[in-house]
Amino acid sequence: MNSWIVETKGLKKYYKLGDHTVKALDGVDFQVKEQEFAAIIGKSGSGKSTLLHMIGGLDHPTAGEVCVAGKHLSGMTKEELTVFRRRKVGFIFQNYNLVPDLSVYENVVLPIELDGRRIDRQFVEEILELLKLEEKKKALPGTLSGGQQQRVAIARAIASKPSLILADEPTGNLDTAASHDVLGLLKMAANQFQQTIVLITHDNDIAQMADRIVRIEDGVIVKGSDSRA
Amino acid sequence: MILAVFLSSLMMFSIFTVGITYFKMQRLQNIRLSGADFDAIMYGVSDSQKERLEGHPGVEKFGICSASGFVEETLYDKTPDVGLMYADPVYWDQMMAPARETVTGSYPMAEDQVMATEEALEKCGFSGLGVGDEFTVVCGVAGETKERTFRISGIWDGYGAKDVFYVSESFYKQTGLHPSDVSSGRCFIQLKQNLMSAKEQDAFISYMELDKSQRLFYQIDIGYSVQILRGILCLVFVICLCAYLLVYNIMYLSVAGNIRYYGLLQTIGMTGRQIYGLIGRQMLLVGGIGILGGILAGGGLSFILIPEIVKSLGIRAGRIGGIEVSFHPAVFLATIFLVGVTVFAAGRKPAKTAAASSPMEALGYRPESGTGRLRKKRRGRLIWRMATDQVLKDKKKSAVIVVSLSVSLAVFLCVVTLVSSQGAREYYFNYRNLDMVLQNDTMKKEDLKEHVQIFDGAFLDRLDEIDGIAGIDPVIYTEVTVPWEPDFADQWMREFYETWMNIPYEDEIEEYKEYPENFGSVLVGIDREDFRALNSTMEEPVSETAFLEGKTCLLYRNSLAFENQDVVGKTVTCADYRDREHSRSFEIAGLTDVTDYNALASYPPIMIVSDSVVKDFAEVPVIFKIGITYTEEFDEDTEKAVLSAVDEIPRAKDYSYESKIDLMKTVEKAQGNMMEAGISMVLILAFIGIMNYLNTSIGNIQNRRMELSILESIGMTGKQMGGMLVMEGLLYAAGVWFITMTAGLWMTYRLYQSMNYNGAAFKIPMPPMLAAFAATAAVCVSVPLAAYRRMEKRNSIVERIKGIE
Repeated sequence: MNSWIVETKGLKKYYKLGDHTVKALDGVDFQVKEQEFAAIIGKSGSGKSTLLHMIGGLDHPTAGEVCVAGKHLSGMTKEELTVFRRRKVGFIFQNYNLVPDLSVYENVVLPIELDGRRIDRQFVEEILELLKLEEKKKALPGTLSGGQQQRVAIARAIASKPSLILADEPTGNLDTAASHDVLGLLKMAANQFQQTIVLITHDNDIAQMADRIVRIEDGVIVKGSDSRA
Repeated sequence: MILAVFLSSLMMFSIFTVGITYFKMQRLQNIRLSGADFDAIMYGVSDSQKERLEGHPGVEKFGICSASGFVEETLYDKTPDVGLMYADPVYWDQMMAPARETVTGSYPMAEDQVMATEEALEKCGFSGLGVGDEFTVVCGVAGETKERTFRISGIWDGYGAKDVFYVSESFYKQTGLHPSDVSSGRCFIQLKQNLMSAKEQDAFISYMELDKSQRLFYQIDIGYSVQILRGILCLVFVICLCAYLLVYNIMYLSVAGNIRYYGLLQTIGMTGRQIYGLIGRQMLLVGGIGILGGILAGGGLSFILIPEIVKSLGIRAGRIGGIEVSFHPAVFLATIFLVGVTVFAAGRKPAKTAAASSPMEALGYRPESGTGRLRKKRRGRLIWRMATDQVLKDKKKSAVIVVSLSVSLAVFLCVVTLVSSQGAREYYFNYRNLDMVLQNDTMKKEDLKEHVQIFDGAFLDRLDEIDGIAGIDPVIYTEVTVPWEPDFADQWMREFYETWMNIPYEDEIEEYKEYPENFGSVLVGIDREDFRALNSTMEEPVSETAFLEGKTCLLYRNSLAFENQDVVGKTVTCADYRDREHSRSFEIAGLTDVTDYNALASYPPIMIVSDSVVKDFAEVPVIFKIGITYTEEFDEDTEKAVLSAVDEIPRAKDYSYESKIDLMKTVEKAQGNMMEAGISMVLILAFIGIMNYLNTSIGNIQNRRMELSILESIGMTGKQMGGMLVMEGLLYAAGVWFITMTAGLWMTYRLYQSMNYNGAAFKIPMPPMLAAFAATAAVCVSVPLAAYRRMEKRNSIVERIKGIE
């Protein structure tokens, strides 16, 4: 019995662009183990973000299958996918994508509240402390630095206790020091709360912090690039 | 953007065009209801006053119409109630012409000729007579009753008083009457100016040097001209405000949406001034196309679509045909000017914002929010909390959304209230707004002996049996004298002579003292309902108990210069007309100007008392009128039943009646298409209001595209999103309702009062208002939801988060 938390089979995503068909993903078979920290690297337009979106249920594949935490995403309705996302997946975006009108604390607990669950205040406090945000709990995102905002995004991704964290270029807008700081904290938090991380980056240095690196090019995983294989 | 300017021009053009039609029709209605086109009427005009009128530069023309007698009886009807009038050529040929529809024959020249109407002939029992035919009647002319034979020189039909025979100048001259008699002469004045302030009106009255008995009244159009103009300007201002908000919103959203583009232009070297100029030229182009399109569409809407919609809605269909919409070239210029100014004013700030944006700021532009100070933490359900936060976070934007819709709703409220107050059903002939009043016409006879009871107890019982009647209020009276006494009667008669008589009181005081029966009056008895209604019109309401117990009475003021304090508390005594010894005294409780209870015209005061007093005082008090209230207003079946009952009384020819149904039909006919024009205005405003909200709301959702998508990405379901948008919509709707019911209602009330020349009570028509409120809620809730759903369908969540259009 395998212990994949993420498994894609023959995943394809084609777009029509004028008369051309763009193959963003062209038959990707990809698996991630529970509590693994996997980094997907590739150039801009290689299909790495598309793969992440497919895994997170943000986008639909043209063909193939995505299975996350034992659930096949292709059979889910839009509403089911949304609920699945908020319970099973924590997203971290390059642009942080925090809700600008909510405070740091409110942003962090928002997915839990949307799910109608009781907020585990102690757990949230623990995360905020771990991510050095305890002083900024009441601040609005617009008043924080990029690194701080990304830490809030990490806290939000972790707070609802998802089994999988998907991070799309989380350090793309940060300087080197902040990037390492944020990634270090993400890794530490995931370790502490036994979560799996799939990280997208085009930065080899950042990727080196992962347990495993996979390279993607022109919508396919480059043979022999998987550091675990 | 073009759509915004287009809509504004459409709104302005349509409102002006339809508004002008509305006011034109209203003016026509007033001409028709008055029976002639004039601005002021003066009771009695002396030769010197005629000279003054001729010498006044502001007077366009004046015509004179004089009461010359009345038809006392004919072979077929003892109480025909038809007057004899003389109209001078100006009044007949020029002033009455717009209110006339047909004339056959010509105005009488010979003494025995009359200009008749079908109605007057019918009342006299001469239906079917035509031009050239003769008829004989008994006429009362200057106190003399004489049989006369007249030849019909012409027959006319149209609007105004039609129970009249117009007589020749030679007939009028032989009556010995003079236009200076206030009871005979009516001078109709047409002024050159359309606007006249209250000060100018007073100055004109002073210029005419009126005698104490003379009165000069202005027609409603001119009398309220300044207020009406002020009201119209206020409406135009509010409509401009609507347009401003619409253009501002769209401009603001358009600049915000294109800020990256402007930043890019700056990056490649375009200066702020050049960007400002670019937007200026854009505005000019957009404004030009929008205004032109708006005017063309406005023309289509006003002249074709709206009349069709009103017609297809079946509103008063089958009456006079389609709506004739008036057009004035000034509307073109006014629309271009006002929308142009509005576009310029609304576009300035967003253009400045665009010009001031820095390239870096523009590149990283995200809708501005979340950088301000911390908000107070709200409690409650998450979705409700988020909706409240959303509405309150950008108070300015929310205010613009709420205010723009509130303005439309408030204008809607205002116009619908004004239009409905002009509705034919809102007119009433009786101060109590009774459905019908039956009148005993024998009261109009000169000879008191001919005043007889025609509505007896059996008839009242018959009325009682009619199902649709909710109330029957007979008004009874008995003839009395008011014996001379130095305290009150003398004071009254002295004032009466000074005001109304050409001879001094001193010449007749002895006769009055000795033969008070030569100066008869009436004691009028009213029931509790009539008293309560009358009391509600009094400046100072009087005690109901004292009145009903017969201790006090009310007096008809008769336009005398008395105030309550001059007479209240004094005692008035009346004596039986035939038996001086049989008398009764009352304490005077107050003076009334309500004329409904004037059974007869008299020198001494008309005393209004409780009906039980009259029943005690007189052996057989005569019912002179019966007020009838129907269970359901305008119930034609009940009216038919009443008329059929009254037609069965022995002296069925001696009654007359007035009814709300008849008045409504007359007013409807006189109004022409006025109400359709009013409804059109309301429809345009409703349409514009919805379009305005549609624009701002869609823009608002587009602006929040990324934020909503983030929420979706972290797990907000479609249902939760919908719930949040619905709650936001409800909050906006609540804001709109609040503003409309406070500031909007205040504005409506002020505007209404300034234009309320009918004196109708302020009453908001509930069905259209509730419909508008419900529509507001529906629009507020459904538009953002639909905009979001559309956005959701057009782009995937990933595209939306990335900001891909």
